[in-house]
Amino acid sequence: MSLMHPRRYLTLVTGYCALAILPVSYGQRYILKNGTALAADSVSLGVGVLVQQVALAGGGSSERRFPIGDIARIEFPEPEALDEAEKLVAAGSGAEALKIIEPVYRQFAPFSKIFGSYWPRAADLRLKALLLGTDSSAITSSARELIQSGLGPEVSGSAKLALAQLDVRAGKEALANVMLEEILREATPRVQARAWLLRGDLAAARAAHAEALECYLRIPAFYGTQDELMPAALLGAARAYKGYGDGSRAERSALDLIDTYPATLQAAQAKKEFNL
Amino acid sequence: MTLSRKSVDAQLFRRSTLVLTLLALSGTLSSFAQVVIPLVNQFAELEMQLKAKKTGDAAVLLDEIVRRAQAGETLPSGITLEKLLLTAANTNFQAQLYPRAAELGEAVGRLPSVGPVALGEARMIRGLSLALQQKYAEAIPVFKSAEESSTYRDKALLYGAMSANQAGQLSVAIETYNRLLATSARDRDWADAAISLVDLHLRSNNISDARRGLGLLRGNLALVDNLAGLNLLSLQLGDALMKSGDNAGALACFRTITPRDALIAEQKIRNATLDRALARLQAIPGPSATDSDAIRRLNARREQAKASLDQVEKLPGYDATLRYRLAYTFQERGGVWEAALLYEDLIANFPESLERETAYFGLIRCYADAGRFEKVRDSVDRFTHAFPASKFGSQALYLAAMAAGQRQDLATQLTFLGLATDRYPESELTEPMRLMSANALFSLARYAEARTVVQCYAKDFPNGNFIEEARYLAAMADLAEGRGSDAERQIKDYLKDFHEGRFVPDARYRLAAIAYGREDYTASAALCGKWLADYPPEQPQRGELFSLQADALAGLGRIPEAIAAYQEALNLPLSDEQLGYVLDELTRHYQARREFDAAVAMWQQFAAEKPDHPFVINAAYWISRIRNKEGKSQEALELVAQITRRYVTDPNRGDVERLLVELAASLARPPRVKMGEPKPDPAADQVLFDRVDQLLLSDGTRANPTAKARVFFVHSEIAAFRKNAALRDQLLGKIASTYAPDQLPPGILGKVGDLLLSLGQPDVAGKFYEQIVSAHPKSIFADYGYTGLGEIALLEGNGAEALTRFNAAIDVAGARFKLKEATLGRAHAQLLLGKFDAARGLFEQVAGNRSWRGEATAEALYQLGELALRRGTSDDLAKAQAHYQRIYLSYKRFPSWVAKAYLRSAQTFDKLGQIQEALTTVNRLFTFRELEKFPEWREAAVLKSGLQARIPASRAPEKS
Repeated sequence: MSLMHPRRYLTLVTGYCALAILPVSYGQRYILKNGTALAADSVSLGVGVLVQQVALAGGGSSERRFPIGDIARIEFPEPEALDEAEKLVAAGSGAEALKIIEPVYRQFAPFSKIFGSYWPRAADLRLKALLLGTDSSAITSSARELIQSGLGPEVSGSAKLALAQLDVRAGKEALANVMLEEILREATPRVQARAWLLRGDLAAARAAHAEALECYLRIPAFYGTQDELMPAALLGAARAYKGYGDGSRAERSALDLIDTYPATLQAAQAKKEFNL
Repeated sequence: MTLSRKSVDAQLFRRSTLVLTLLALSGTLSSFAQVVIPLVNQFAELEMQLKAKKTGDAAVLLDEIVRRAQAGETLPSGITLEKLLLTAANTNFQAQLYPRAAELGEAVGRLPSVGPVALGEARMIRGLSLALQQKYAEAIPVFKSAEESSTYRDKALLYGAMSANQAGQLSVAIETYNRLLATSARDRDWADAAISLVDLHLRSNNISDARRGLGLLRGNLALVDNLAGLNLLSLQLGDALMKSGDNAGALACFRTITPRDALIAEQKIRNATLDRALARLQAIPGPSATDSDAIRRLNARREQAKASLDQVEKLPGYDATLRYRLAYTFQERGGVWEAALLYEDLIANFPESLERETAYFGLIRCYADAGRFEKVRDSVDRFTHAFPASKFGSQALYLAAMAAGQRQDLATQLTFLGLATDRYPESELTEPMRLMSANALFSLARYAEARTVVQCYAKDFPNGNFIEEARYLAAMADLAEGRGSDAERQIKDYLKDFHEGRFVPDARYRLAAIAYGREDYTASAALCGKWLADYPPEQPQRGELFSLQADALAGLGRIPEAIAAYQEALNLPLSDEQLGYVLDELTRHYQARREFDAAVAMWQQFAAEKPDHPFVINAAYWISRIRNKEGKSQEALELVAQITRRYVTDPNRGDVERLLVELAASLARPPRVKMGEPKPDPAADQVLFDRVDQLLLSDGTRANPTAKARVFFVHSEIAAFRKNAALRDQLLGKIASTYAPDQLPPGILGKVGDLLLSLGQPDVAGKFYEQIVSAHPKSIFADYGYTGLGEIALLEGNGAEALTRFNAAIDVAGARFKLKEATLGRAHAQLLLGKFDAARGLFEQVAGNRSWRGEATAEALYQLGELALRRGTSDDLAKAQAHYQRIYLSYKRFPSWVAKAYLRSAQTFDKLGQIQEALTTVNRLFTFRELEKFPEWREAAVLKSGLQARIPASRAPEKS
């Protein structure tokens, strides 16, 4: 396959002359459905509205109100807290992650469904951070909030997975399995991969090592682009291999984890468990 | 109409800025000369044409102005020839008059003096004009020269690379892209260029560079609009890596590829984003030069992304292909579990896929390599159903059989070979499969079957590839079945036909062993000596030969020479089994010669040199035994306990049980009494049991089930030594009911199994025996398992199974503890199978073995009597009679056999017509009241009545 088709060449060269690059950065602003752009620092948030103070020519000021429903998209730079929280969640530091994700979660909550809002990711990270703790009611309400948000299969799948995890914690494996089946039918690949991980954990707890392996190894086999789930999958597989009696594959899986994802919690755990 | 000079200048400048846009051409046309058609008028007309976007007309007019200027006419003030030519070149370019635009661009370059910006722009126009005429090779140096302009450097690099690509000058294109990417900002243009570069690397077979480039792009995925193109490149790169044998790289590559549906969905989202961005830019009224360029670039990117998406959508086998590639590379990297998942998915979800047949082949191999043999069977069934004529079927089964063999699962190996033979009788692999099958049968001690297979092979393939192996295996099968002379003949034939054959050293060793077996020690020693002289020191069987030579010398009574030969063997490589044998034999000889210190020194040296060797336990055992014999029991006890504690929690260290027995013996043995001192009271059981706990357990091992079971085992052995069978059985029963078989070491499993079997619980006993065979097949106690299972098979009336098990006890496990029982079991199995001659031979072996003298002898004699009775000639009846008489005269300790022997003896006398002797024999039986509990007592009473009725009263003996 050649990507350089002569036609493309023509298309490109006929426009050779302008050398500027498209602007890539912009300020914090709300874009209304009528195309109006409102700088974020020119408005404040009211109940269901954005409020703008307008100075009157003769002195004084008046308020202009823009219903949130009229906002087409929001253009805010991505909050750094999101990436930081993600790292903390991956490191298992749920409480610290919650501390930094809560403000973002609250800031974007009024715009949860608006294009460009960071609320879905913040809410998802918040749920993941909560899952690292033991507050079942907070996890449940956070998950339900996401399921009801109507933000699509990725978000709702992730929330259903959290509920399945709660079922597992409560020892209701059958209930969890029903939820997992649903997730595997409907969810996005990322959530499906997480569901397989949970299934692997369930099988491993029953010492059903072959079944656990088939669950964990689905991640590298079918979800190879989901890099963030790979450490957990590799650690689970290493343990399951060991339980299955295949020591050499167990060690190889652990080594693969330590080599490829050295900075992860799972790698540290593998080093300890497998004396590597 | 005349225009003021200032006005014309201003307007021309404005127009040139507006219309000639993209060049960002600055400057003015500020004056004109008065000619026939004044230049000012021509400039005015030019302005109108440009305003009306009539670039063609404007180009013609500009050509005229250029001609006049080049003819020497003075241009209006402020307008230089450089600017005029540049404007003309640009206008011709806009009018798509590329040859003229190129000429004019070149003309600018030829001017005696020209500014760097104008020069760069002229070169760009010329280069692009040449490229648009597809004169790519000519365009390359032009773009190269345009790189000198800091303003146009990046564009010159980009278009230069594109031209080189189109001209087929891939290395130039790559080099140019590399220079561009080295300095340009990481933006979407950068991503486009990087994709092109990866494509070039792939086409140039620069795999590692392509891989690096793709890695870089994967790390900047947000900048890539053409995800579909990126995925297609990844697929190509993976294929290239796979082809080059870099399966790890290929796998890494394939794993980054998004499945078709997800990719299409994601690409559609990105295309829609591109569409929206484009629509936003196109909606801008009076777009700036920047906007126009952005529109064109965006448009080009969108077109490319859509083309790639289209390509993906037209590939219905995309996912199946990806699955197959992933599975294959996982498999080649040893990831057989992952590969199996992918193959299964491909088979289940892509029924039309072309890769399905090879996927089945891969699947079977994966399951086999993972040792998941049930899955192999299932997938073979599915495969043969789906592709009955596939050429891969037998190959898959052959490989599966090999995998089973590598895991020592020989029964499964035979199953797969059987399946292959049944389903693919015409397979080209028939020859190797037959031989593999024979080898498996031989290893399973199914010698007769192994011999049959190789004999059939030799008949079907007299010049086959494996005829040498087949011939030798047939000889070995005979040897293993005890037909030494047949084996000897075949080995000699083999040596004649294959004097350079690969089994010649072994064959010569076997001949020496056969000579030893028939007690021709002189010949055996001579053959060994000849072998040792003929083969070099590095020959791997040398140690074995020294060991055999030592055995022969010992048989000849030349003990010092035998000891020297054993010591030679010890210095050579030996298998653990052979090493153990040599050490034990040396120990035996040292003991016989009362050279205890030499024996202890040998074992101490061994333990010091190989502290982690499993035979350290043997060392402790022997040192302890020898020291005990010398009366140094405390020293022995401490040594045994110390070694035992090391391994007490590990059920796989089965040798520990030997030490435990030794420990129990030491403790149970009453202390030696000095002359004149009173004999002390024996210690209470519980005192000894507490001592065992103290010697064997520590805080760390007290809760360990294996360690605790071992303690109970020592208790039971102490009870046995103290002849307290009830307590022994109670303790063994406690082990049986408290611990799962997988927590127990093989020695204890065997003892517990035997107890359960004797208590009439063969089903439960079978679990313990199975655990020995499956988990500890190499244990010195493995013969307990095979023999126990053989006994159970006998109880079930399954002679073939019993024979296999007993054979394995002797041939596979070495029958270190159960040789007598296994030999007797083999005899019974042969009897059950109706092979009376074979059975008689084995019973004679048992009856003739002085060291086995006891109940086994009585049983063997009885069976020999039965066999003779079965033949029924008067000579045989006399022989039977002799066997029975030997039992009741010499083996009175075994009343059940005595009762049987009396009855049979009487019956035999009866058959011989010796009624009086028969009656006397029956009456002798009745003199033993302890026989009353046996059923033979009642049968004898019936026989007696019959006999009495048939003889005259005067001759009847008196009632006992």
